[in-house]
Amino acid sequence: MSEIITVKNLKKSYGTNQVLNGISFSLKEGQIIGLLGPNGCGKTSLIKILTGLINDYSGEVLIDGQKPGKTSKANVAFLPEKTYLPTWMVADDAVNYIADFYDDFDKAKAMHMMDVFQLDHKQKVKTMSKGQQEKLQLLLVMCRNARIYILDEPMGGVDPAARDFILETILKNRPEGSTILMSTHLIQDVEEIFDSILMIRQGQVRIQDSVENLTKDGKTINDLFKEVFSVDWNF
Amino acid sequence: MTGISKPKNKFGMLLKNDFLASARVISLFYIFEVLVLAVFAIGAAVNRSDMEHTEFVSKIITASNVALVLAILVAFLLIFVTFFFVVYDFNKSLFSPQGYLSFTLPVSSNQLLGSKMIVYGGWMLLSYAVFFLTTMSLVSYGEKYVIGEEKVDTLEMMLVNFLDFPSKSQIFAYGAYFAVQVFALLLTFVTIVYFSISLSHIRVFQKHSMVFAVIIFFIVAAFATWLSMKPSEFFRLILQFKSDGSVGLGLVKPSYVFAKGTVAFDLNAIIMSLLESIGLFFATSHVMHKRVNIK
Repeated sequence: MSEIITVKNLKKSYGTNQVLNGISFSLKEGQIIGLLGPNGCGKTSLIKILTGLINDYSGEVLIDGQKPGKTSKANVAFLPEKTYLPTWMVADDAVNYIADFYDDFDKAKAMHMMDVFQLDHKQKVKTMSKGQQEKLQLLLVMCRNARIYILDEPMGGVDPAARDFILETILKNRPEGSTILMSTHLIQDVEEIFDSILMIRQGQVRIQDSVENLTKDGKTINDLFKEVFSVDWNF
Repeated sequence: MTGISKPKNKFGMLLKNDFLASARVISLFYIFEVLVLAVFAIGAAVNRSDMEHTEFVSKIITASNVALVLAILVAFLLIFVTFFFVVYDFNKSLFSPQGYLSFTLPVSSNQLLGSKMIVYGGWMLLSYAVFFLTTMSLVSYGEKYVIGEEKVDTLEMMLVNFLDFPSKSQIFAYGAYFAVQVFALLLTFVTIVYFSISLSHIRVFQKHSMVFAVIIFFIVAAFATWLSMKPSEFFRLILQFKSDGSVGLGLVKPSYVFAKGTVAFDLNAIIMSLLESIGLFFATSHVMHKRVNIK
């Protein structure tokens, strides 16, 4: 398996606050990688750098050999934590918009998935419930035949039934051989789908290994997470 | 999985989607303006005809006169509506959570900015043109048919009387110069607005971005105005339309007095405006690419 994401000595600070402190790692193609860490550890900044939302950093970031930019953006499907669609759009507008910009977007599949997800094609984003907006954003991302999927807290703030639905949608619609980097706090719910784990603490890689290696002594990833990060909560 | 693929150029798609996003609201005002002008035109046609002035005809003429005022008001309002959208859409589509969508599209910051400049610059130019043309034609009509003066070409009359232009070609040249000047000023204005909004979204200013956007706007606008006038202290780049019909380009001293019958256009301000716009475009693009923090 070749390396699809390479990060070397990546540093990012906001004023005096160093959020990424010379982080280095590489991710193998075709895996589902869990990006784990407590709040403020630098996960979102890392994701923003990988998706080209932040460009003022030092160090090297390569997405399949390319710096984050036009080319990498065309090959990365990104699901942010936020609801980002223009509220005046109806569901069909959103599908057409994504189809206009991403050549790997499967519009027919998106239209079909809208029916499966029971989304009204003509309903405005503004009038959709949060759950409906999340469904729409999820289908827009998963109807792309991208090489890399970066999913930032895809199950954040949804009920357990919705979590199963989201996970199933991701796994069902993921193209073969694609790479998924997923940040989440809900480790227990998703750890079975991860091939490997990247744990970040205070802007540095704390653990990077395959789930197989990490769980061979019977521990779960959730246990490991608590073990690593409980120190931050002890007085 | 196959290797990483180079994206196609999506600038056309940006233009299309920026146009659609803006047209959904702005076009409503244009449709309303067309309807008002249609009411006015019907009334004007009835007024000019030999129809007997029944009560119904009088009502049409009254509606037409109301439409005349409304048409000018809507045309005036269009300038403000368009300006509001220049600010609103740029801020909303790039620096609200929508920025997660816009900034992850497979396009460059130059393209993102360029598309908005073309679409909204175009709308602004159109709003000025509609206001100018509506006002001029309605004033012209008013003179001819409402006030009852002799048939006069108002624009020509104004230019001949007030600017002392000797020929129609010079009047046309002045019109073209005026249009270019408006275009250059609008371009500078839009780039200052976009630069101010972008800079107000860097981390230092982000907490009170609206306040900082206004402050930055006035500082940059004052500096741009000062810069535009500076070269004129030393020289004037002039486009001349001489009385013999010849056209010339030249550098003259600020105090230079032209021969009678020569129409001269000062190009300093236009060139400086265009240079400022180019500079601000790339500065804005750099800020968008390197400095902006999407929350």
